[in-house]
Amino acid sequence: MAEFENFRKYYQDHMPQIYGYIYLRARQNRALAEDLVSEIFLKAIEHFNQFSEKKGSFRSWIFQIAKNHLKDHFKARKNDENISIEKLINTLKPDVDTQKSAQLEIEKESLKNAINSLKDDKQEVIALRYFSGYSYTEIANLTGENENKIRVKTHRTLKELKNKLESLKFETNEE
Amino acid sequence: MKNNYTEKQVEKMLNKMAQEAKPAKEFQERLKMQLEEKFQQKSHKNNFWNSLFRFKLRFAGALVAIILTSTTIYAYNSDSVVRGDLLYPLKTATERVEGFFARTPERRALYYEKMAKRREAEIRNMENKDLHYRETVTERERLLKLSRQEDVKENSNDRKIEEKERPLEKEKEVKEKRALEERKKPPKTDFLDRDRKNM
Repeated sequence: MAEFENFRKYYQDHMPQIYGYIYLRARQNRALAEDLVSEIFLKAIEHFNQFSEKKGSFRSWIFQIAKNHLKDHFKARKNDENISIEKLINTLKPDVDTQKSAQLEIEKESLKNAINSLKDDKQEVIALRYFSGYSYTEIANLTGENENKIRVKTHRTLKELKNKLESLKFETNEE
Repeated sequence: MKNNYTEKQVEKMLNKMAQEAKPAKEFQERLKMQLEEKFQQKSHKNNFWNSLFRFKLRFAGALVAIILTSTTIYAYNSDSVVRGDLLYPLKTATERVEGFFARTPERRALYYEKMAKRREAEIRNMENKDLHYRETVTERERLLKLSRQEDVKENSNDRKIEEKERPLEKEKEVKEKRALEERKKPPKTDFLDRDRKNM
């Protein structure tokens, strides 16, 4: 039972970060994110005897499981997910009801769509930085990339998001 | 009309969205329970395999112990286990242990007497073995003798055949020699006789 207590401690410490990461990568779908997070932690408890702090931190271990699980999930639903950016931009146009609703809600939807149209590696950086709340050093450790490279990538992704949001707003206003 | 966003604003929007992306408490509790259940299942499964492995280990240990004990008992009780045999050191070791427990002079006397009797039984056994040994040696010698006799017979037969074949071979040789000599002689010339007649 001591082993479970150990795992429970890790679970409490790392579950919100993993949830945040999965939530963003799973197209901000709460139900799907919950399913995926459950599967990830069940997988983790199944193989918990293989984890050793000497080999690496729990964060890296669980993140690796999450990443692989997401990859498998997307592979299985490749056909469903195979939406071109153009198609996606068309869906970005908020409907009449949304336009009528609060400006914030529109912005939120636009941001979601803009994030979903980003490339996988850029989505990952945004997820880890803003949704899991990791520092640049921690992200660099998790992804195995250089810290400066991560900083530059985050900055460029923010710029890209900004441009996407502007173009979306422009298209909506034109209509 | 094009609205301008700053990167700071985008960051703010992301942070706001992240605040909403926190896992629900009910979900967290539900998952915790699921994990506990899974862990119990896993440990139950592990317990089964561990107990099976422990049982196998105990069984193997018991088997080794049984084999060792029965071998020791056999070595101790058998008179046919004598000096030079593989089990003899085991026999003497057991006897030494027995001797260790004979502490009083009376018991020691009994022990030595018992050991002397055991050695006697061994000697008898060795004598029997020696008898069998001698019988085997005699049998071996008899068989060797028979083998030699058969060899002699076979050699004498060969000699007789050779003697019979020898004159025939000589005759053959003489004939071949004659044939060779005849071939070496110059042929008779008829044309000389013809010339004489003409003269």
